[in-house]
Amino acid sequence: MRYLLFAALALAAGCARAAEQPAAAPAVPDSATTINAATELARRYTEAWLTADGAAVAATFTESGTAAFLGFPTTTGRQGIQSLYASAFQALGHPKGGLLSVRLARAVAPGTLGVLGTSWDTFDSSGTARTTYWRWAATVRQEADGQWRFAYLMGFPDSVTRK
Amino acid sequence: MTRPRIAPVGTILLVIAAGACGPAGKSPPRAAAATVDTAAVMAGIADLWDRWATADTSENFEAILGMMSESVWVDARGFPPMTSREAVRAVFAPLYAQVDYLEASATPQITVAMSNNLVNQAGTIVERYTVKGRAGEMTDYGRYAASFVRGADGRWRWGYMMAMVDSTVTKK
Repeated sequence: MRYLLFAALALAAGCARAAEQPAAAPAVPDSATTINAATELARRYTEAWLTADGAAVAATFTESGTAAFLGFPTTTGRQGIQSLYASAFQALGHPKGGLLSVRLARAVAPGTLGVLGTSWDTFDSSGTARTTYWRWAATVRQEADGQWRFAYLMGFPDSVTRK
Repeated sequence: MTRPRIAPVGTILLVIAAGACGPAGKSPPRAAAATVDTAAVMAGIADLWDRWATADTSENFEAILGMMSESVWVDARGFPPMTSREAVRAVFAPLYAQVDYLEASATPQITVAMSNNLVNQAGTIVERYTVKGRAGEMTDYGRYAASFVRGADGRWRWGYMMAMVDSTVTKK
């Protein structure tokens, strides 16, 4: 996997006689911003997931992102992730429901969050609604377009209910 | 005692630098933020995994607990979330007493040094063991995602760990 190598800008404060502008270091988001960013990404992921569109779900990952789910091989790269989800939707059909939720989000560096969460998804299984409850952990990065995306997402199912 | 196999692959260096004002500057020069010492960070994490493998195959559960921060959060499949070292002790101590670990190894596949005190890593784990009172040997093949933090004592510990067993091979 290749993450984007990035370096913070070195801002030289001008020493003009006018009032100096303090050099601005990249900000680590405050708690509210962190939670909002993580929650917004979870919302976009859920929205994409409910369309059963592999490309839409993969777009919530960085170009070089990694998905590691129990039952599936670890997959790196948006293209591979798109195929992963497309295959899953092909096998399981269109989801009847689902939701990705954030339990905890923490800024670990400028532009990077550590996020923990839960999720559930429901598929029709021969006339029975099969709901799987998951736990997941992720590294989330803010990209040049301002969007936060999954750089790494790992998850496993805890339980399944049938109705 | 089996020595662990550690094969770290791929690291990214994050460098943050800040500039300073000119010679007649009205404000003191900003100190440059610390450059990540990747070699030292990687060596610290490799040492932690080394110590884990040694403790695991020695059934030294207290030593493994000592490798976790007090407020460690562990998400292990099959168990409820554990949000402290004591919670991990309560859940795993009884289970650990029933297992003899013969071999333990971790193979990091993605390592990102966020700073000199925080590392994110994902990889695979293999543990071969017997269960007391049962015949046969089992090998678990699994994956993990973890955050390591370096404490004030300079030691690296798990701050977060998610682990799941992909498959178990039983040898009778």
